[in-house]
Amino acid sequence: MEKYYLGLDGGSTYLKAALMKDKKVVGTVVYPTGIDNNGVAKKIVAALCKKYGISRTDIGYIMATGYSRKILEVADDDISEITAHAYGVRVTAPKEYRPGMVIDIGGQDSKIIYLDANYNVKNFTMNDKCAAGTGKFMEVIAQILETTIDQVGALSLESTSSCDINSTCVVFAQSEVISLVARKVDRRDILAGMHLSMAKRIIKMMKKSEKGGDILMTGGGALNTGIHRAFEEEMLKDVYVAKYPQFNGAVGAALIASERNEVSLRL
Amino acid sequence: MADQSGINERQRELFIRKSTRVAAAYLKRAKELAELPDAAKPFFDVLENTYVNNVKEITGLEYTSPSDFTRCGAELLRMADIQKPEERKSIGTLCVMVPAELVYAAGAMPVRLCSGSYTAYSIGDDYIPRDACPLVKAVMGFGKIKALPAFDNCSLLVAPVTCDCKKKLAGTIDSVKDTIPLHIPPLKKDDADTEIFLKELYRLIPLLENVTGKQVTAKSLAEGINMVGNAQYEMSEFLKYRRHDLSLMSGTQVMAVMNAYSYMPANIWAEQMHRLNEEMKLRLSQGRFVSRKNQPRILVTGSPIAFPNIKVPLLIEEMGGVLAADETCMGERGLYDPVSVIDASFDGMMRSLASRYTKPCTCPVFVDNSQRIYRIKQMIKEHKIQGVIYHVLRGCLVYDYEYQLMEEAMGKMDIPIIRVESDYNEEDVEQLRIRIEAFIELIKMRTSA
Amino acid sequence: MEKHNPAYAIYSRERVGIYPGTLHQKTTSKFLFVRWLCLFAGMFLWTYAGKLIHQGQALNEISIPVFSCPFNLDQVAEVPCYYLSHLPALFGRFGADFPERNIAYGVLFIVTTLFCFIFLGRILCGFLCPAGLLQDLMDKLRQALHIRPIVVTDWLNRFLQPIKWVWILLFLGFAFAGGDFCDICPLKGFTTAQGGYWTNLYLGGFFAVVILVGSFFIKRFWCIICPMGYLMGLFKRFNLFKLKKDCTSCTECGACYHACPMRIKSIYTERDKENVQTVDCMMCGECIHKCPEDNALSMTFCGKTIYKSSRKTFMSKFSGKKE
Repeated sequence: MEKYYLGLDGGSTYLKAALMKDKKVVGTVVYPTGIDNNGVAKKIVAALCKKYGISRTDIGYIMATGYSRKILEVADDDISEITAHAYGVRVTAPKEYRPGMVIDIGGQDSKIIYLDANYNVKNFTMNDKCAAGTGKFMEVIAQILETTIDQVGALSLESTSSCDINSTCVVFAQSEVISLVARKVDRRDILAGMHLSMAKRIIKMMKKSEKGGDILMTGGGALNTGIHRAFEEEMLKDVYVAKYPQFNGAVGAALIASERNEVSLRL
Repeated sequence: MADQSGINERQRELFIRKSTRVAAAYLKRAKELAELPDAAKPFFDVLENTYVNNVKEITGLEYTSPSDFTRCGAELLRMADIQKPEERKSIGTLCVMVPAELVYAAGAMPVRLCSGSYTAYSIGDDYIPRDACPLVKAVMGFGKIKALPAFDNCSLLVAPVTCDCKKKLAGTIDSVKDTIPLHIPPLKKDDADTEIFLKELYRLIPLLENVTGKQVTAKSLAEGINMVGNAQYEMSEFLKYRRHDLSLMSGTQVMAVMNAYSYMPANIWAEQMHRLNEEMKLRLSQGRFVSRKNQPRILVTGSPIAFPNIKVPLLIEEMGGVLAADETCMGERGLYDPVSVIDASFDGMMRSLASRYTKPCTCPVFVDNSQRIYRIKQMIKEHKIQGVIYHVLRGCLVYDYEYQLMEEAMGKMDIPIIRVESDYNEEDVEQLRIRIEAFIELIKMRTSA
Repeated sequence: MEKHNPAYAIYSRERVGIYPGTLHQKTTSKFLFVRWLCLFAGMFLWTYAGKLIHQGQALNEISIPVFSCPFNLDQVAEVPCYYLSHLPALFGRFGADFPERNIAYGVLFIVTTLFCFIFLGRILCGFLCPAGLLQDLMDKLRQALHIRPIVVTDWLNRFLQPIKWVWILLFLGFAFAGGDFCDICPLKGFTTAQGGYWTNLYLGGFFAVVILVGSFFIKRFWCIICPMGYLMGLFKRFNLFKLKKDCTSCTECGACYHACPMRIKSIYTERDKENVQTVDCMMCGECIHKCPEDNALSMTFCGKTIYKSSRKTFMSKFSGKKE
């Protein structure tokens, strides 16, 4: 019987998992990480097995990625997030997407991965030194505007005139937003401005030389329609969004697990 | 002359405690990467003595090894006379462009002071601007804290004025120790430029003679060239073993060995290197390799990697790559080009020195450094390199400028290249780790696809 | 002079005199040994060999362009320098002026000259010219005495180039103006005197002294301004002997440029092309001898490599093993 493969993406806030068989996604699940990474991972494995009626031995291989990848005991091996995301888009990208750039907006970092025509990683840039351009920025601003991170996208799309947010630093942007609220600026306009600011920040990371191919968004931040529109406006190009963007890393890890006999990664 | 304000005895004690701990930790990690050849142990001992033990008293650490290839580290140092300034003077050099042959001809020993100490960097941070190069801060830090005998025993410092930071370092460190700046012409193709540097070397001779009291003659210069040439010969032989597609020795350990050259006289380094070459030959015949076939072979190029800042080589090897070659001044490049003497008269030898230290030098301080790309191409071919890591220290603009050209050239050759930027602290280790790990996976995917 | 004056530093560092040097360096190689042998053979053939070898008419007509004065009647083969500098006389050769020589020998003369010019080129300068040997011996004498040379830097080289053009003009054109080049030829005295022939030197004697003294301090001084050499170098594209460079191995150390007696800079600055032979290159092989990189420079004959630079050979002199 064809084996199942499980990919675990251990982020700082959420632990995501994707179960795959025959290179197709069977199911996904996400749990908040808390402080006990290993316990949550074990719970996930048990929950998935129960949901799809399989036993632990039916899972051929478990591959971990993300920040906590090296400490998850349930995993058989680990792989870096960049490779995992690059592999994930092979499954999650829409059919029309020609491999070029993948923008991953995570909770605490953002990455741009450059792929060649065969979905192999050519190069990558990361911002893991500051919170600008990451989900954290959105979380902080959403909190001030008394909304949640799932709603900010829809709200910002209703805006007719976005308002500029000048600070690049999240902490200073916070104070800027508070003063905007005090001046009775509509929160939808502020949110539109926030999305533009994020898009500009990420675009600054881009290499000017790598222009070929299409742009694809993944990561939790890709669920945000506001950011999607902001990118399209700034780049003057269509931007695709991956299927299950939040689970792209886990899907990639699972895919690598299933192909590991063909692509031997072990030393 | 010396500015003692602000540095007190207690600060020095705490500094020593911290810096020795960091240096010892890095030494240990480097030793444990792979089976260290017996003949390489004395080099590690020298580094240990310079950075760890030198600050404590050497209390007759006699130990013997059963192998023929080893010599006791303390014994080497007694011969090296680093500890005894009255027997042989040492001259501190702040760049590899200072001709070591000339210093040996004057009867002194050159000590390359470019250091990678994180603790000294934080001391130097008080005297050097925030955005400046960390290497310069580390040197300044050691100058001020006076806790590194290898530095403090130097009678004189020679500082080639290369990049902006070295230029200002030459000016600033003069308050700690007498410094002689050397003008390095930014263009090097014309004969007039080599003449400029030749005049600088002639100007340097009497200043060196003042320190040692010995005269530089044609005979002593010839002996100096012979000695350094011998060290380069041993290095050349070693590189043949390094080019083997399965490594005989871990790349980080090789970098430590090459770095130890800074603190040892060339003839002793060459002698020990000869033993290391013999051991490499033995390992090759026995098939004792330290790497596996599918490990990506990586070339590191860029800003100097000086002990104890061996973060990047350690990460590369710990993440599963092989550091097969390096194009850095404290590594292979400082020992590669030999002096080709055309005319054996004194002037002829000086000209050959002036020529050798500027023309083949691939440092980006020169206006046109396109020859560096050829050098990298040659190394990629000879060492069978699969990926290039471009290492830039924070604030090192000259190397950063060249990244663009390097990326284009590597793109044409279809060799992956990434740029990693690092500073002299441990806070960026995780960020470096993820980039290096992803890069190594990138190469593995390419080669197995 | 004050001891620590840099000017003093330059001149006081070595004794003048003959004593062994202490530098470990590659002083000779098989190629250079062959070259010295050929040079001595050339000197012998053009100065004395005629006394030993009976010169048949045919041998007398084979012409090889080296600068050995035809006033020395003992030379074994002809040199074209007389006829090149007296072109009107060359045209007259086929006319009624020389009834005893027939056309066939004239043709042999022309054919051998052209063959040497086009296919052999300036390797004759490096391997056969007796004047070349004389200059090389002066250079060796200077090195043995430990006297420093005068280095031909860029600006001095620029100064010498116009002098070369003046000589070329005189060489080819003086006869048309009614003068006799042999009167000012600086090399007339060399082989003739060695062969024991007495000639009038006129102005040539003064130039000969300049050349002798010049070649003591500057290696192959005459060759930098030699007109016949330049004319031979023009056909470098057709030469059987070529000088090639592998631009990737080259580290731009400039040793080849400093070693080159003709001060050819492009050999070290060239970054793309394989063929680095210029009109001045006399294939002496000094650049290859001093090059420390593997295969960066090589000399080929009809495409086959006969001499190339090798790092192993270069570095092995530093190994200290010979002690």
